[in-house]
Amino acid sequence: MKWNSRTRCTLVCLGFILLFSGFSFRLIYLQMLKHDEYAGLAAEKHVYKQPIYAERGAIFDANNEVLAHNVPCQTVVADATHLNNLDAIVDLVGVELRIPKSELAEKLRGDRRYIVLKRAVPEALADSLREKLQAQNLHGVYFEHDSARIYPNGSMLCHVIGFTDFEHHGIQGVEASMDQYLRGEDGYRYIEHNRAGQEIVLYRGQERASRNGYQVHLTVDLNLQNIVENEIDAAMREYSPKKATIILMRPQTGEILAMANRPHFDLNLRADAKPEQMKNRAIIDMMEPGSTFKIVPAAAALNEHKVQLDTTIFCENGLWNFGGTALHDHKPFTDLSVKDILVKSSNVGAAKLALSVGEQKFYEYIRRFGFGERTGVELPGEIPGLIRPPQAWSKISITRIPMGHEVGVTPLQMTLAMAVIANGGKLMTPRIVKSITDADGKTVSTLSPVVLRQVISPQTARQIGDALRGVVSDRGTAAAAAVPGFTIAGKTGTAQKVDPKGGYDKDKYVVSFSGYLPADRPEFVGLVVLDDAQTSKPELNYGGLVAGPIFSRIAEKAARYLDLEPHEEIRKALPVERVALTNASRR
Amino acid sequence: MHRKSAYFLFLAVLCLLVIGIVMLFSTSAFARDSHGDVYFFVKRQAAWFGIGLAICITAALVDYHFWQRTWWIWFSVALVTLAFCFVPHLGMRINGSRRWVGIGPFTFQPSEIAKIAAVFFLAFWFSRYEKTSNHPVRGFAIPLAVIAVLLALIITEVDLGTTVLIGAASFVVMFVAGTNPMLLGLLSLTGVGGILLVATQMSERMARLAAFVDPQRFKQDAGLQQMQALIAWGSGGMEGLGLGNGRQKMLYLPYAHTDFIFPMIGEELGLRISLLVVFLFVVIIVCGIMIALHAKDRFGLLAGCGIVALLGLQAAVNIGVTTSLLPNKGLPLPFISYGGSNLVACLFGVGVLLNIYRQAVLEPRNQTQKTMQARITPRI
Repeated sequence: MKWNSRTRCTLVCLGFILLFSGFSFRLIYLQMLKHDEYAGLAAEKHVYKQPIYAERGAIFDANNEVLAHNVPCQTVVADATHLNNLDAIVDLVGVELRIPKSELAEKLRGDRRYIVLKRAVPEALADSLREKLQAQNLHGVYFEHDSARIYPNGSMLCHVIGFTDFEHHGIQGVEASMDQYLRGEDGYRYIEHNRAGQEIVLYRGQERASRNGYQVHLTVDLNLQNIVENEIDAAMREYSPKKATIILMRPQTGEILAMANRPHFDLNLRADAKPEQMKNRAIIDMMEPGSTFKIVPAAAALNEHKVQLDTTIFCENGLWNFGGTALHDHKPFTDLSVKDILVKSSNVGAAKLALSVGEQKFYEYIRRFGFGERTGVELPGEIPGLIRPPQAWSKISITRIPMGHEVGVTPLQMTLAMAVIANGGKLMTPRIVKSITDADGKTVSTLSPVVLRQVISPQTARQIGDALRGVVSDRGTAAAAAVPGFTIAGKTGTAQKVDPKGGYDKDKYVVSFSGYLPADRPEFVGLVVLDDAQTSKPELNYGGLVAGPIFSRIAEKAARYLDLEPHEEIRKALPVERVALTNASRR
Repeated sequence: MHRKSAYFLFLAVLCLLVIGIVMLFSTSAFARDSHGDVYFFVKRQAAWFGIGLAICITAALVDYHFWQRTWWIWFSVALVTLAFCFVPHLGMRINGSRRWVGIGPFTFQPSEIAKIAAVFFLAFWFSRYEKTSNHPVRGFAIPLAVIAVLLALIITEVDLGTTVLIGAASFVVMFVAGTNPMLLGLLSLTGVGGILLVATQMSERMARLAAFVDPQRFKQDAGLQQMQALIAWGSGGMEGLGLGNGRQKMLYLPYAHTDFIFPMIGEELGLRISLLVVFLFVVIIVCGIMIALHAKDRFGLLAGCGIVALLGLQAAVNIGVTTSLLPNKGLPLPFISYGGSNLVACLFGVGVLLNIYRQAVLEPRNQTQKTMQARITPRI
């Protein structure tokens, strides 16, 4: 077949039409069938979910003093695959951030893409390092915005405030228990960036703002806390106990006004703290309370109308054989009224009061006072203590428990039990958090006082209160706890420490004093516990002689701070002579 | 139908020009060398647009036989300017290629003149030696040798794309003119072989070839551009992201305003507009071929065919490259891509086509009118 030019020209045209039809199909294939795949690839390349970090809420005391807040800082990280000059970078960064060069070089070796070089680098230092890196044209070191949690008061209230880990999760204290409020919610925004990595602001996509964390206001008053911390430090210097705990609480509401423990640590240097320094002994240490526990059998017997306050009980001249075992008093007593059993702290009398109530009822009263269960304070790690049921008691348990042996209680539980007496027989739930506000200060939640139960009748509480006033008199065991100008009620405790080998250690004591002030209209309840205090003579290691004066000093300053009206009668009377422990050992 | 072909042709060209200038507006603002002026490329392209239209109209008014008579002038101009590319200070070296000649503020590519000159030469040759077009020497060897001089110059300035384009267009013209199909087949085989040979000699071309065979493996370097182009196509989808909303132009897709503007059309305006662009090229080709078919002489037919082949092949290579059907070649999309010389050359070609149409369709009508006028002259 012979074609002329026109036919061939038409042929060329057809060829082009075929070719371009092919292109059309290719376009349809790419733009319709492959749309999802490539759109995904595009999103992967361009779109980046940028987190907007929420700021963790601050923690305040009752007077809005800052206890914990945030300071912006930078985290310096490196991408080992981006490093262009390892040696120069190691030299520069090592000097600037004060990291040993060998350690830095070791970190940067390999091809990990996210290596944290140093956290909490101050902004100014980070800026200067960034400029120096740019000046030398070094790549691979990046800066991330972060914030450092700062505790302005250092070690003060450390166990209550607690601290956070690097990811800003609370892991101790209020930081942990209130974490869900403090944390806030991180937001995010989808941003697109060009190939050079710059954001294309024009195409800013879906965005969710972050919600900053709520602020937590504690019931703790930093001024009272300061008084307590000073006194506990003084006590540590004077008696060098292994551990010490002091709690101040408002009995009507259960608000904890101050809480201090020793040993302690500086919150800003938490990385160096030892585990035993980080324990909040007020809620996680089990102790045998000793004689302070006697308020329980006395309250039980009075509330059950087994005895009256002036009923006399024979105290066996200080030695009572019960169940085949001798029960001693620290002094021989003959007949003591119920009031005097508390005032003189007679073990025999307390045992007889418990016996008059009966094992089961006595156990119930112990539990009603809140022992053996968690108090529910907003602090993590609280233990319930150890109260065995009557079935597990030995024959002599009924005589030992009343004097505060064979039971394990926390200092906070003991404070609460004393608060029951101060608060007309009502057991409150202790509280450390007063309110939660949002970042603008609007109240999110206020925690109102919670009455857990009426443990004993108000009348019984008043009677016990009368007896406890006697304790802090020259007749009682805690004359040294008196506060000039105020009537004060309280109870001493001296418990032999349980020897890990079994039995009790004769030389080691847990001494305590628990009391409240003013006796007729209590403003605060306090507890002072010193574990294994060192005194020059063992006979001086008594709650009334060691813990009493500490309480007295705290109560005096606290009363002054709280502007309490001194009690009229006593103001006219002569000040009570202080028992001075001049011969106390000072290591 | 063919009486309207020139109007359709011109309309299609105008549509493409409008799409081109709009897309240039959208993409060039993000281009790297915009000299800090968002309108830098748009201003320059608008100037070239004006120059190109003026040249197009001029070419439409000038009798195309003028080109038949003066083909050797243009051929010489092409040779000289191509040689200028190698003269220091005149020739400009960009990206390793000496394709540009700078005169004052303007730069242009002599290979654009060479394209036109090659077509004019072949049209002249085969209209003069119509009878011997099947002859192995007169119809094949001599024209091939002349074209080869041009191609040799262009390939040494490292412009494989234009070399292939001129070679392929010459092939089309020779095929239409009636060169021995056996010889042409042989030629195309050696041509493809030669291209492969040259490509393997240059590492950059080799990498592009390898990237074409396996785009995933080379998506970071040689295959980057085509991979990014595919992403642009795909993410545009049916609807497109909307004019100005393309993401790939943000430095992801290199040369998004010149050679790779077509994927940006796909990304921003969607499948419908990208199919429309393909359709407009088909309109230009079909109308162009119609004009050539109805040309009043053989030179018009061959020149028209050659111009259509140049436009069509250039568009086909560009679309093929940007859709990853062909290995990466730097050829602009006619009428759309940024680039002054190419725009002017393409518009000149359109102008010549319009003149061929005028002489074939409009002027005979005037003649008939004259004869009819004579016939109806009343006899008094």
